[in-house]
Amino acid sequence: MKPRVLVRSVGRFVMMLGLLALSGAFIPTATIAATKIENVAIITPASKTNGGWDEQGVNNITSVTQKRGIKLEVAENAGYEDITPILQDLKDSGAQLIFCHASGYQTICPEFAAENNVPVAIIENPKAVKPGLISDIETHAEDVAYLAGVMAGKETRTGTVAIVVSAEPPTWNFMSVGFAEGLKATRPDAKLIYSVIGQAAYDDAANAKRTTDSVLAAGADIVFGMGDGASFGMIQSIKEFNQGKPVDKQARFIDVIGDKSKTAAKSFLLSSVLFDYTNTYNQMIDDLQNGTFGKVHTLDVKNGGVHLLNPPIPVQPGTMAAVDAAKEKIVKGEIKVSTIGDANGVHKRLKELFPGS
Amino acid sequence: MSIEALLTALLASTIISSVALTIASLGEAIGESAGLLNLGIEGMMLISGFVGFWAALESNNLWLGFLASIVCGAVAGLIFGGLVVLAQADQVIVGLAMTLAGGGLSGYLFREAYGSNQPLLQGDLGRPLRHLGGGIPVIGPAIIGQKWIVFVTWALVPLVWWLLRRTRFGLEIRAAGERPFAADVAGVDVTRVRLLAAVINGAFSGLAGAALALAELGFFRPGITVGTGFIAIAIAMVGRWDPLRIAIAALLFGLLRSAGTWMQITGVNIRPEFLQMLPYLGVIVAIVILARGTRLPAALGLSYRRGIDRT
Amino acid sequence: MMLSGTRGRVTEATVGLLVSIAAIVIAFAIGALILVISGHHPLAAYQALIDRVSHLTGFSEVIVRAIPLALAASAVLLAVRAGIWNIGIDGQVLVGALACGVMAGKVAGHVPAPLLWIVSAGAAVIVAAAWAGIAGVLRARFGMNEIITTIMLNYVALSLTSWLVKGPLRDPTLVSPQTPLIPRPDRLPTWGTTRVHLGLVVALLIVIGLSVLFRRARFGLELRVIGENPRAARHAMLPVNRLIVLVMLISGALAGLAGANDILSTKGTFQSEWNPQYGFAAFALVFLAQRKPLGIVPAALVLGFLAYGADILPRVANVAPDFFDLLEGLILASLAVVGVAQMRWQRRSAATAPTPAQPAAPSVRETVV
Repeated sequence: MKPRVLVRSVGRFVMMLGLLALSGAFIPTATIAATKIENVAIITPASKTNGGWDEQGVNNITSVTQKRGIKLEVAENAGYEDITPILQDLKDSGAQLIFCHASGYQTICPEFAAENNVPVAIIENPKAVKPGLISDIETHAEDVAYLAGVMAGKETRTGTVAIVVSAEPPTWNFMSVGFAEGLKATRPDAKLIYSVIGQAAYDDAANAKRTTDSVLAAGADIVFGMGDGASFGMIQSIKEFNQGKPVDKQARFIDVIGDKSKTAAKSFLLSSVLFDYTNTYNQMIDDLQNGTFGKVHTLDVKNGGVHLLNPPIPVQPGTMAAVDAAKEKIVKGEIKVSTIGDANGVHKRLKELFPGS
Repeated sequence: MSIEALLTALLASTIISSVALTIASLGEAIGESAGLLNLGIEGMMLISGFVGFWAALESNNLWLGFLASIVCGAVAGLIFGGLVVLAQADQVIVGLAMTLAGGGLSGYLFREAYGSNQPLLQGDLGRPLRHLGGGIPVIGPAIIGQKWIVFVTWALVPLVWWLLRRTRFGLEIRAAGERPFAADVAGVDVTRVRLLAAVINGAFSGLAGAALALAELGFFRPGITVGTGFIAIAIAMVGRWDPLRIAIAALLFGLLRSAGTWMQITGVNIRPEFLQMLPYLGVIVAIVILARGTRLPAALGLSYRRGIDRT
Repeated sequence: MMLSGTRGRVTEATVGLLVSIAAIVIAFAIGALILVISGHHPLAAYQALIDRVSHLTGFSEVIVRAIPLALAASAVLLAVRAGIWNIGIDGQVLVGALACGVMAGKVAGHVPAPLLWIVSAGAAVIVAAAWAGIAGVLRARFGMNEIITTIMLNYVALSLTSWLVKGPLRDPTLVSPQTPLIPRPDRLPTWGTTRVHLGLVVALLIVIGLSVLFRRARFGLELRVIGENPRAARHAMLPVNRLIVLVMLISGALAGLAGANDILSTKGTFQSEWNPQYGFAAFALVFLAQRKPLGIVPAALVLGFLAYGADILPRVANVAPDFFDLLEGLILASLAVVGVAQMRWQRRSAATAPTPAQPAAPSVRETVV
């Protein structure tokens, strides 16, 4: 580029910077008051139709807002890059509360909330809670995963059970440990296979299928699969494995988050760990209207925020009784399920529980 | 769980993981032999995979899906060839552009067409040998259960070898990749040969996309290739453009990929991240050991203009 | 390619600009066509985007998006000038960003903010340069094609950083696997209400630095010789292998800086799921910039505009973010084609010896595999 062009573009930039500097003089002053909520937003890292985590959050908030007659903005596929421009845009389009639906947003959203005076709801970071500004959701899915483990322990015929995960985020990790503890309590001699598909392989359906193929070939007859989009690969794998096999030789799937009982998985879907944010979302909106926003909300077995899907297919007599008994003990506090969110912790705990596997 | 059953599972998984990769690598080898470095396979696989899936779903006919994928791949190859051979645009740039555009378009169209649900294909590919007995332990059972795409892939290996090594066209391809100027002098229509090679390369990418979406998975999702197209470029080079070596290299890659899962299953106490690095480190090591001293086709990456010898 | 005489040089710059604009127009036109076919209103979609960008918030966000892209593009450009295809930007950004996040977490609270920036950006630069250096050494020592090695190293970097941030380097006080969050006051200062930050100045300085390097320095000339005619470079007794390693080191360092930029400004932490994949966009950017350092500035704004579009349009116009990958691809393809026409035009008007129509090609041939 030539000097003249250089001078011109540098000049333009200096001008722009000047403008930017000027604009700094105007600092917006917004206050949070107890007002009527008419407009909320949700931001999710992946597609709202991935049959998993993202879809669950969007579906729940959609039903809440429809019932209350509130406007909803959905920003899906936001990924884990710098999401601030999207948050900014949601705020600019009038969102009075933003649901940051990913544990990976647990530090960026509080920061945005503090700087822009927009209330946000975050996942699994209770320390960040601030009155009027930041509420946190703690999902005790490990309790329900424990129940799923109990069910798997009762239902497995081969004695080998597998956990297949698309990655190792806290949400999956909690459930992996819960499931393993439930299995151990019910069937101490069981063999547990734990297999990770990839680093962030939420959508890596091909390797999900290959991995599931392998765990089935290794003798697992129940697969506890946490995948999001990758789950479809797991389902296809089990579907092919079961083809032409008598019912008592078929493998079965325990899903998380979504209810796939009306999909291709219906003939072998044993259960699913279901999350239901509807009550929490309603409560948060109420809180915001009443000026009491800024709490830690818990989803657990007791309040029904997480629960186990009733098996759409027949199960052994005694299975549901064992599950219900375990559920009661969890509610009473007689069973304490570990809450382990980090990947190394998961590996350590699984080795403790199933040293031979 | 017996050792034999575990090894069978490992081998079966190795074979499956290498199918799409083998097809894509064979296609890339044909292109590279003709002097075309195509970095766009990833995008071509994705768009072909989507188109094939869409066609199979609409027509409820898996075969039509395969046909659509191959045609789509060939068209993509023609676009690549047209841009780099006829318009003489830079191969690396056009390849990267194809990867971006193919990935973007397939994702865009998928979300447009099936935004609200994930359809799965109903039909399943046959397993031609499933009624045979096991035969040799481990190898027998690992092979007989495979879908026909596996056997088609293996049939393609000698076919491509024959095409490149035993036909006049194969000779012309290699001449166009080594000394296009000399080939031209000898009466070879370098432009036509390279354009055809690009179309074949594209058709193979299309079949690879179909192998993944239609044969292996039974559905398409945006980005399902997760880098297979790029690994294919490496495998073509590791195999030195020789179909048999490529097939073996692809199998080894599949083995390393499956070994990661296998070690997790057998309870080897290594962090999964390290297991997942294995295949990629394997490629680098393989190139250092195997491919040392091999030359790339002399005119790889170079466009040919009549009368100008640039090699 | 460089023409003699001021008039020739001015027309070359003008033609370059026209080519880039033409490529953008073609890409947007094809994009509009696809939008129409799929039942969208392209004008409404583009309008919604332009509407946002014409406000300060939107415009400043475009700049924020453009900063790391410009840094990554500088990394690509330096290598491309030397005929080296550094496709490993993504991996280099990751290892650099992780190093930066870890270092910042260690020193935060102990040193003044400017020192924190320098130390942690320095860590990013060193680690990313070393990472890129692997591919450089493999190329120089074994003649291994850097396209293959850098692509493979991207995957390895993804696994490696993921392991490190989930294991030994994570902030144990958080559930989410990430490095300690750098407090706001310790991050790069921003202008006014916008998020435009000091990284902009760094990026501009680097772009200007590259421009000076290519024009004046002996090193810049050597790069060009290697890139355009490695055989001649060897004849001229240039230490080609050493230069190749050096180029990869600097290219990696710049990519590491792009990673550090994000950690020290917008992100404040390295997360295990974060993978910005600037590589492809950086390639599109470099060719949009006509392989000229100063061209990076406007080209980065264009790509920043697309990145911002991918953030905003999915919601306001119901256009999937994948559409913007498609646009990038179309821009790149259009550039490659229009660029050939430009080259021919220049060749005819220059009437000199055949110019390097494909700077990459000779270099690819130099490698064994």
